[in-house]
Amino acid sequence: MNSFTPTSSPHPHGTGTDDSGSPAGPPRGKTVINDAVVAKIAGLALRDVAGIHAVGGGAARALGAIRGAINSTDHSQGVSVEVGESQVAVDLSVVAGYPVPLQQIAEDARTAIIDAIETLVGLTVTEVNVTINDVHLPDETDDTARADVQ
Amino acid sequence: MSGSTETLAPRGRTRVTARAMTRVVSAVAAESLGVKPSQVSVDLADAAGRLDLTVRTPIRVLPLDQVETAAPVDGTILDRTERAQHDIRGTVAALTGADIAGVTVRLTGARIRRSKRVD
Repeated sequence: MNSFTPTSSPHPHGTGTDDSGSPAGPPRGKTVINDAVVAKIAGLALRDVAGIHAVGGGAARALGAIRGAINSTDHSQGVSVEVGESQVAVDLSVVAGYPVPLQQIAEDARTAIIDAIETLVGLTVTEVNVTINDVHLPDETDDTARADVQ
Repeated sequence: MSGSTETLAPRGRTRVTARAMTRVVSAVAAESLGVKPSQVSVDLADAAGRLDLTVRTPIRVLPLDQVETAAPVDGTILDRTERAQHDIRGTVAALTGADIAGVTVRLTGARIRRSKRVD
């Protein structure tokens, strides 16, 4: 896993909270933000997105259920990030709720992640690729319990 | 994955897997024909870059002894199937954003279910 060091390039929003050196003098130390942090922030940003039923593929969700049971939830589940010098690309895999328009969910997730990473981390997001890997049907759980009258 | 659809957004791509697409189609078809999503089987095919759907499903019908007493408000089985076919095309396109070339609905059986006596 590699990590990146924010350079003295201007902050995308101009807040400049993570600028490592003062503009006048030589930099006094550097800030390193690990990839895992970026992935976690992206994962947490998805909490507020309506219509997402779960995050992650089948195996990730199965593992996530176990981790959740022992109180060590992986917040970056289903999120993979590729971090460069000043840019980041995100790949995301979600299970959508039914009946929410899938393109809408993808767009909302994309906006939430871009907002969170650009404001909290200060990296520019080049792309967020969203994969809707499944759709959760609300009446699926009581499907087997209810016998069909024939 | 075959059968998945991909669309381009300003910053990234959106991919809907075949599994997700199948689920949406079966839920819409099930809702429209009064059966359960698990009873619907869906085939996705490519039709020159567009999505071709084949849905195999049973249909919910009234028991024959009630046909005269409770007149079917929603028409004959063929009418209902045709309406379901249009429903599927419209709703699936709206939900998934897929470009649908055609929808084939194939009825595989009839599920006789008595209407509830109380609501």
